[in-house]
Amino acid sequence: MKNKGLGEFEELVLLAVCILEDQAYGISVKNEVEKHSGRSILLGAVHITLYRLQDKGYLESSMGGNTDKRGDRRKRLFKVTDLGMKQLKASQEVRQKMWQFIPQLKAAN
Amino acid sequence: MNDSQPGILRFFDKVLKWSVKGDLFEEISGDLYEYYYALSEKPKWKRTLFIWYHALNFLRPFAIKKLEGTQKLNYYGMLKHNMKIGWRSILRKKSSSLINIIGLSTAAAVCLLTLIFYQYETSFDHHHKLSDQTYRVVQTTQRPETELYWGTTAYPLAAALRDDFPDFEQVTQTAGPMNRLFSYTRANGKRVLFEEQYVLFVDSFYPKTFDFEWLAGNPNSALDEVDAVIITEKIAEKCFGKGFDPSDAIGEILMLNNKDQLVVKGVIRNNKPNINLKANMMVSYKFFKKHNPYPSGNWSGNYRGTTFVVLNDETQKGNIEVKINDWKSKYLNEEDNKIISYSLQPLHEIHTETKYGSTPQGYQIPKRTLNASLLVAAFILLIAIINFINLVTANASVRSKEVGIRKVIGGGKSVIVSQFIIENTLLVGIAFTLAIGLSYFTIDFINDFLTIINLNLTIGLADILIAFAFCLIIALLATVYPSIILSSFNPLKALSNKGTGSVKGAGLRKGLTFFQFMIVQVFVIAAIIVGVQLNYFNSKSLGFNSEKIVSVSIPSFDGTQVFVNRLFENSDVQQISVGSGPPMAVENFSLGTRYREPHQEVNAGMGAEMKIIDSIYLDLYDIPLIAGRNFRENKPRFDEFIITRQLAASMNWNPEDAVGKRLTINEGEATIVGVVEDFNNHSLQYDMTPVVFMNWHAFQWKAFIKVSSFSTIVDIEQIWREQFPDNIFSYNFVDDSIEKEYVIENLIFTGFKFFSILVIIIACLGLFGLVAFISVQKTKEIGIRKVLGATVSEILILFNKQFSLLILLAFVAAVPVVWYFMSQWLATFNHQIPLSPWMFIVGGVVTFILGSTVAILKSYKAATVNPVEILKDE
Repeated sequence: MKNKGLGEFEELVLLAVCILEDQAYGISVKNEVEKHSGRSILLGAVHITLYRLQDKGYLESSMGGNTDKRGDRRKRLFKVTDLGMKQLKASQEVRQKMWQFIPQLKAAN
Repeated sequence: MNDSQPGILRFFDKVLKWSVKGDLFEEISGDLYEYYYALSEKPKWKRTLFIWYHALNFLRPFAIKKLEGTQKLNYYGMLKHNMKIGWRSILRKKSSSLINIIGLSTAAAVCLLTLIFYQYETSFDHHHKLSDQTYRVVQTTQRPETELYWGTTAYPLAAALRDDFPDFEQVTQTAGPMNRLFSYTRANGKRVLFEEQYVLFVDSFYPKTFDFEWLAGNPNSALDEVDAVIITEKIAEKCFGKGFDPSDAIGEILMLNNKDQLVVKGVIRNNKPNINLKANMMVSYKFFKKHNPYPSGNWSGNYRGTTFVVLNDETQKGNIEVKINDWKSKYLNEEDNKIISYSLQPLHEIHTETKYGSTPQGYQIPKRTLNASLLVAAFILLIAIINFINLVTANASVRSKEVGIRKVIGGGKSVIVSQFIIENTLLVGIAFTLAIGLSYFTIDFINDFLTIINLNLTIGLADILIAFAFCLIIALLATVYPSIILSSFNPLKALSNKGTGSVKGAGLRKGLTFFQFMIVQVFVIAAIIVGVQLNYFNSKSLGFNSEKIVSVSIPSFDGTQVFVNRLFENSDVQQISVGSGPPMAVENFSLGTRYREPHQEVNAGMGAEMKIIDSIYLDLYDIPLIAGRNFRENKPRFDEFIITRQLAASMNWNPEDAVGKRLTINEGEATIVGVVEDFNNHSLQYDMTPVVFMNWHAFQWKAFIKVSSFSTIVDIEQIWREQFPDNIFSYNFVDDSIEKEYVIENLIFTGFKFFSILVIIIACLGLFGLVAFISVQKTKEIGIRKVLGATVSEILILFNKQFSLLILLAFVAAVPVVWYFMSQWLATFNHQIPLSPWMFIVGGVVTFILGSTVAILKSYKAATVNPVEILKDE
């Protein structure tokens, strides 16, 4: 992948995976993102994003942990890689830095 | 486990398993399951809907399986391979591919456009809901000397039919279209003055019979009032300006001829171009009746009234015609009843069936001409297809090695056939795509070119589909034979060098080329004959001289004398005559009457054309008097006639004897004072008829001005405007209006010329390709011949002997065909040219020269190559 930046939705998904630690897979990520962002999300969209992030090297995954409610199907559990963590922090810093330069906010302080 | 799952999940399991990449299936399906149970508190329908939505959303590129293994089409690999090989071979044989593509695409475009033209011309008035049941009432008049057919009928007919017959769903009467002058005063005081050529007077049943798109007004009641007028958008825009609101137009007042008020009761969309009876304004028929009480009540007259009826039951048409002809005696006087009979002509036939003529101011294209145009287009396509077959089979022999190797490797006959079919279909496909593009871009050009008949063609989706269907059929037709030839090579022979020399299908190619050049010569000769006939038309002496004569209308008779006097002040004006019309009837306008000796019975009268002239008319038009004298003056009550030689002959009078005799016409009795030489009082498609000139102070609504320079028209306009204010000036040259009578004939000629040129080009392209191919084939032969001492000219002769012979033979075959068809075509004219040998010979020579030039040009290159170059690779 050439483009290693993070899209807005990608960032949300990546954060959700971080929050969920070992329990990050399609449905749980969807619920997590929905919970925090307050918008409803397509399951397919979550999947496509997870795979893309994996392709970019921000996530790694393994199969495991089937439950009865899944019709005896295993989950693909995702984990953040170091690179993913670094990327998250980087984009957080960029924002932080930019926030500081907003004049209106300065004046309010 | 799965059995306990809800049906919808099992269904999506199947769908996803089939469509989603193998390694993604498990997790996606699992997530869907979980999602389904998470939704368990929602109502069932909502759950189902959600699952559908989310599941279908997985069918995106990222998740969908690639085709692999057995899932691919069985022949996919072969198809891909054949496409590639086909494309390469098209590129390799650039010139012959180009010839095929150019030829086929032009021919297909011509075919497509002709088809669209045909559809357009046969679609006239088909869009009305009741059009299948609508008929025009037409009239046949039995005269002692001939039968006359009328598309128009007496004005009172419709009302009488409506009252007495319950069999009709609708009966409607129209009058016109006629030319009227209108004015409208806008709110800001600005006055708009305009002349409208298509003013149709219609009764209130007309909008119920024919469908219009109403922008404002009520179709059911719009024409109830005497002073009602319905206008099209075009007229409304003229009056109220761009961007008017149709509903605001209702109730506005238009002035007709500066004296009668008309109230706008409806606004309709502009007429579709393919309707027979054009009307930009529709005025209530009651208004017409009120202002024309005599003609609108006259059962003996036949003016510009068209009657339409709608039958409840089309199968009753025959019965109803019989009933009408029994019933007519109730209204017609005794004589008329004997000679007039009515019949019903289907609305759909009006535009293409010429017997009863077009509607007033309309035009017709005979069905015969339309069919012929389709046939011609089909022949052009045929020629292009022949090129295609010729070139493909010719090239086939070059590829015998390829076929041989394929066969040795294990390719069956069907595989090789399908290879060539795909390859050729590719070529045909390219050609047809181009053809559609070509038609698309030329269609506007054609519309512009043919505005004279108000053509408005468009390409629809259906036409494109038809073209593609055509494409498939032709691809099949044109490729099956060559493919079979190709696939039938014996691999052993093909691979040993012997196979390459023989050219398969040479006999067929000769046959096809022969046929092609026969068609070419048929076209060329036919085009020459049509051209000569039309030239004869345009230049034939009509018996009068119409050069440099301007015709202007005279709106009010009172002003005539002053107008004439003022015109004479201009030194460029040589002569002025006032009369009812030019010697030759133009725009379907002529005054008819019947003549007999005073002592004869009324129904012994014979038909004649009546012309009102003055003492200058004959001199102005150079119509020679052969006996008696000219008129001296016009009188309110005419008392003198001048007749034509033909009229005198029909009474068995010598011209000299006729002078002084009394003659009675419908309009009254008078003395014959002169006889003039016959002249063509109708356009040359028709015979001349007897003419009576009279010195009457009526119907003198045209002034004919002989000028010495055309620029005088500016001065004439100036004087005219001052003399007849509140009228719109229009003029034409008598010459021009006579020429307009041959519009359809000229159109046919132009079409033919165009088609012939196209046929020649396509056929020559084919010949070019063929010669090119043969010269490659015969390279070695040429080399050896040259080494042995043959000259370039000898080799050229060797090459062209065959083709020259073919063209000559084709000429011999073409002559009888053209002879037959062209004598038939010429027979439809009353003034025809004789067919003479030179037309055929010129046609043959032209084709021969063109064909041989192409062949020689191409073979010359082969003949002049240094033999060393050719023979060294052996």
